[in-house]
Amino acid sequence: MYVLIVGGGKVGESLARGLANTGYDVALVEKDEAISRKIAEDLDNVLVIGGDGCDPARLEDAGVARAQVVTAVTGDDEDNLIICQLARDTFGVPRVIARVNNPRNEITFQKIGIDTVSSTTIITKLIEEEATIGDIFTLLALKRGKLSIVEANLKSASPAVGKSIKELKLPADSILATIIRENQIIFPKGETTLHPGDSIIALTTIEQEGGLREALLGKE
Amino acid sequence: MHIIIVGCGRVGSQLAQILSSEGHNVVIIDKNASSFKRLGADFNGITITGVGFDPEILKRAGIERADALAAVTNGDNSNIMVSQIAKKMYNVPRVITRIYDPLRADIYKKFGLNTIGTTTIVAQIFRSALLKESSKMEFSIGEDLGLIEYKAQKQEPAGG
Repeated sequence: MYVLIVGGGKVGESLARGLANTGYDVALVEKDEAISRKIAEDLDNVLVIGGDGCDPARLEDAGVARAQVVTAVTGDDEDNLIICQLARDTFGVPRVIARVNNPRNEITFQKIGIDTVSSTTIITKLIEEEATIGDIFTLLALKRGKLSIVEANLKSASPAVGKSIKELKLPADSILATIIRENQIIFPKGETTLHPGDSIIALTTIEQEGGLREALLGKE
Repeated sequence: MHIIIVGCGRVGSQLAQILSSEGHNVVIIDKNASSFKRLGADFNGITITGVGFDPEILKRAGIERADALAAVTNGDNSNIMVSQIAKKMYNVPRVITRIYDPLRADIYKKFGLNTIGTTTIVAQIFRSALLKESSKMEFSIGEDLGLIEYKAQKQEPAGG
């Protein structure tokens, strides 16, 4: 698979390194000459092209027409938008992903139909969660922070203790995936009864995380 | 008309002054407050300091009730982005986009933006003037056709 990355900052460089090491064909376009030369020296399995990725001619040089994925990760949101639009609409690239630096611009990308990743939004959501819900931990945030895999540790006073799974009033958009009990992995069924000290791994939307917490651990 | 101008450079400031003096309700946006000095003391429109493609800034500029928007910053991509916001998110009836890069001007014209590719236009005017040709040039601006007729001077200007 051929992946084209535009922008050679910290994100672009580490993405190029990671993808190339996984075995993808990777090209990176960076307009700053010194930076592009440095990346070319550091990453010998990445094709590095010096030039402005917003320039359709440079994108063509970089083989945009045969790329399966183009991702624009420069520090300028307007550039990332235009790079992704050019790649998708002019060169027919099937999958384009833009980095959004300012979360206020996310709505614009959504309206134009460009998929985004905003590190600011993801980090903000994670920190907010850590700060507000202390006894339920996020193990992994998915779908740009909208969905998460969480871990909840039951105490003897937790309302879910002694109940079976089917007796729990779980929110609709959440599911218990696994129970870890004394290093044993239990796949929960309706009859499985919860014990104090159980560590529960669940999948939930961010909106339902509060409800899930309440069903398992009670009100804060 | 309520008109928003994004970019207070030489073109944006002059456009703002003209429209404002004709009685239009003009709001001009620029990321540098010092750019508004170009407007002079007579300008009676509104100035907003901020990034033109920031939806919050555009709302403050009254984009929801704007009749027209001109994107004339010195960044092609900023102009393209603000124009798409105006058209797609706020249905501003008339949106005009200045694009320096001839390739991007052509591409986004095909995508439905009313683009003015100033580089191509100015190059053609220069060509005609240099060759002292009386010429007629056509420029399309988006889906509407804009016809510009330009006649180069036949005589050497006095004092050359």
